[in-house]
Amino acid sequence: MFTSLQRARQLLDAANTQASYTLVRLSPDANLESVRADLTDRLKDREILTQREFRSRSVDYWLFQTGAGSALIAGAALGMIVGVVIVAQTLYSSTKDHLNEFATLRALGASAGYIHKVILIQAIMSAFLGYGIGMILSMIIIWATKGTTLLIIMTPGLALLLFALTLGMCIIAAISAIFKVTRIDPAGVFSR
Amino acid sequence: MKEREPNRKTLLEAKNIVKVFGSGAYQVKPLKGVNLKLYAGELTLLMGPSGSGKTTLLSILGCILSPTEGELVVAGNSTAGLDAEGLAKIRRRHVGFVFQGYNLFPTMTASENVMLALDVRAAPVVDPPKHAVAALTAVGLAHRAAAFPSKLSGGEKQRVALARALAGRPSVILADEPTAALDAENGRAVMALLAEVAKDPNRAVLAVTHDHRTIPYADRIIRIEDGIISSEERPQKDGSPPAAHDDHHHEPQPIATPSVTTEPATTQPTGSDKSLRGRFRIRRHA
Repeated sequence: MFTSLQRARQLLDAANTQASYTLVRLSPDANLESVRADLTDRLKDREILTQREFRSRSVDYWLFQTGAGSALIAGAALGMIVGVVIVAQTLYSSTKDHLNEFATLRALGASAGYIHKVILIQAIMSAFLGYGIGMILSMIIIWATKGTTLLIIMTPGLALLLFALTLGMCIIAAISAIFKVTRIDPAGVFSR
Repeated sequence: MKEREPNRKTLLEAKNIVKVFGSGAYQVKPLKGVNLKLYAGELTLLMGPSGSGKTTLLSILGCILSPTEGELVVAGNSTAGLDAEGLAKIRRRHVGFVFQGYNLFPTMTASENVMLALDVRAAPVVDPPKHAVAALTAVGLAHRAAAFPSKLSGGEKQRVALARALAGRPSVILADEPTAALDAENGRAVMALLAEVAKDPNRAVLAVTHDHRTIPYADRIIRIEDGIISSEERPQKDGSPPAAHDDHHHEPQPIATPSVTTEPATTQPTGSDKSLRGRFRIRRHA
């Protein structure tokens, strides 16, 4: 919870001399490192953290040291597994439905690499499609949370990371379809 | 009866091909020592009853299956010891297929189907659309280049399949029952095209068929029975069938025994024969 010092003291029944965190705001011309060194000298039993360090510590705490973080990570991992399974099932079914076409390609002399490329292109197209739809939905949610206390932020770096993850998921999902195609007997194209 | 070898380039040679499927009590031996040559500039028919080993032999000649014993040489390349990728390389360089069920891709136009045969080649082809149109022109279907298979008749589909086989300029074209799914008129048109394609001095065409109406188009007929070649013969070129035994004792259908010449057409062709206009004439024997 983030609140004013006075309210925090009231809620925690803490004395005026007690505090968990003290925010120090520097004037624009102050040198961060010299202020930090000065405070470290004066407050030997305290940790002096910069804004970046404090942010990193908070993220680590909420993600890895609380139940909320574990639930969030488990939810994301589950989402990835379900995503991989759904894309894998879709690609596998699509491949199974088109075995005759793949067998024809093999009979025409297509190499295994060519066939794998066809399936991987399908997987990459699925990734672009899924990512596009996902991003549109995310942007709607982000827009809806604007101005609320539960603001969701999507940085370009995060968007890029999500795309990489989506692409990776879809490529992993293509493996089952590739295994299926590898077992095709091109002789099946005759006398159908 | 064994014919004397013609003075022509051998584009495919099968030497003592044996194929065994399964093992022990479940062992099946569809081919029991097949020796066969395909010569440049010839249309050869492979005929035989069901279960005689035609399809297995076609699969081996097309480098789709490997023989259990024996050797296959395609356009001077032995397939002995080649793995699946090695066989695929021989297929895309030297073999073109025409399938009974056409095997066209329904979501692609006729032109795109032909370009697919170029796309699978490892070496890039300059201007694939131009090649595709040229191949479609060769089968008289340039005007249908943008049509999807669902909009083509059976005969047109098979001609697109033939254009696809031709696009890669293979040494050998193997056709599996090319007329089985076609009516008499379209069957004639497709066989006439195969015969025309086979005239290329650098190409051999083999068609596996049950259809005795195809006999007049053949330069050579090979019969297979119980996994061995039982006869090879050359039919008379006057349109009459060869004086050979008949697997099913069927007489060729008179309406489907045209003779093909390279004379310009003197009569107005009809239906799918339009594609052949000006290139050869089909004479129907009453």
